[in-house]
Amino acid sequence: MRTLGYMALALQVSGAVPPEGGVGGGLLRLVLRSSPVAQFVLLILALFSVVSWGVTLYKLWTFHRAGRQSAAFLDVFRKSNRFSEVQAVCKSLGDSTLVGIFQAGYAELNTQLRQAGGGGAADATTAHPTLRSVQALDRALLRASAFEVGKLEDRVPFLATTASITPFIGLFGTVWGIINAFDSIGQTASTSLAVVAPGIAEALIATAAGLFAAIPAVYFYNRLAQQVKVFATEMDDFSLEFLNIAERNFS
Amino acid sequence: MEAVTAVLLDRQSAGHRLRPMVVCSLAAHALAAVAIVFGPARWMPAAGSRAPRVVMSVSLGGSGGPANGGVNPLGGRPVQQVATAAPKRPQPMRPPAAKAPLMTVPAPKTPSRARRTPPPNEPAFGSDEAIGRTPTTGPEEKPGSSFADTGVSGLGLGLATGGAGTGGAMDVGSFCCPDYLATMARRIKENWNFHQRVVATTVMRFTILRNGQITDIAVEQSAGYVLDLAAQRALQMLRQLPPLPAAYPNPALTVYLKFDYIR
Repeated sequence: MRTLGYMALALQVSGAVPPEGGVGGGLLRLVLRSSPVAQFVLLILALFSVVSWGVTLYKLWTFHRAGRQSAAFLDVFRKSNRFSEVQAVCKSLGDSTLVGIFQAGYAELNTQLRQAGGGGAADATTAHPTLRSVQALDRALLRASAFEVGKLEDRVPFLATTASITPFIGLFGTVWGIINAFDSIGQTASTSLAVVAPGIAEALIATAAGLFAAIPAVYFYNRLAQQVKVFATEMDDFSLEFLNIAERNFS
Repeated sequence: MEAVTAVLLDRQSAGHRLRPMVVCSLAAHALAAVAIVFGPARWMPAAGSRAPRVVMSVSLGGSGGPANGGVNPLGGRPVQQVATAAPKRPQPMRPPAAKAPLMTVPAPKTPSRARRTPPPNEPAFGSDEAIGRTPTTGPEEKPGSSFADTGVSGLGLGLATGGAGTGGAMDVGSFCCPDYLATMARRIKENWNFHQRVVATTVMRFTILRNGQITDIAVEQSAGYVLDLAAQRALQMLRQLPPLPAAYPNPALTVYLKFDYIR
């Protein structure tokens, strides 16, 4: 007897052919159908996300420029013999934090020398002018340093706020949605999945949005805080260097 | 004003570029939202909720019967019989209670002084025959070997539920029309060249429209190009089946058909 071909078939009884168009529209539909409170929560979360991303981009861009220009400024500063030369470069490297410190130190130095030598320029080599107070110069550098750190840290706390608040806002939206879902269970008096599931699904969107806003904010907050710390170290280093040079040349 | 303060104030007023960055971020968010809403369904597993795959498999040709694969022969499907209620035991007719005569002379009441004697304390024994014998249990029940004719005619093919690993198993009895499946399988097999000198399995997917047209033929699980081609050709050459039976409610029937090549 010949072997018979063996064939097996499996059927998919397709209840409804899934609609091919409007694919991610499910999410949109879910959002549009949800309650005003949930929509408001989503709106707030969207605002937080937009602004925190804006801050992130702004700070990253600023820090990038500051780092680059600081490197260029240090290059000029270490090669040059005269502070006036360095001061001339400062205009084009305005984004560097070190420029701020240098300008403050230079201004203080100029004031002191002018008072001492009667209008003598800060260029060291001309008449051997002397510093009246190194402490005053140090204080000026400290002021500038604190100012620059403040400028660097500007708006970074918003990221920390976003990171800590948005999960809670999302959670609030979810809890609200689940309250509504249970309410609808109570009203229809049926616990079928068809009654419960849409409410819970639209409630969970809020949590997802909260996490969506919070996770990048946490990451970039840590990263930017670390960068601020690096800049602060660099500025301390530079102000000590500046102080040394000033003390060596003008006293 | 002090010179240092002037410098710091000057640096304070350096332009903020925050606003363009926020606008930039807003644009990126809008882009992401548009991508999520209008993107392909593959990105959103939740959105394109598929109809649950109810899978059953039908085997043709007799191999893969109950002995080697859990396939129930259709003709011998277990049929649940309605349990018949146990017949009522006839109750003996009792004669009506005798009526008291309508008018009687009232008898003088005599207080009954007779007391019942208390029961004796000795245990009651049964009759002599009952002592020391095993009790009888009635007729013993054994599984019989006789076959009940259920009236279901065999189709020469077996139906089995389950398989394919996608979860839901479908009770064969709940699919309306096994006859239609039998016809379909027979028609496809007529066009199918299954002598390929290899043992392999191709799974094809296709959809039968209401008018019986076969569309959306696709290879679901490949077994090599030649074998896929043979299976595909069988479906393409057939192209038309009888229209779907009226008892089947849905507009289309998607079939996962397993072609098992046997040497």
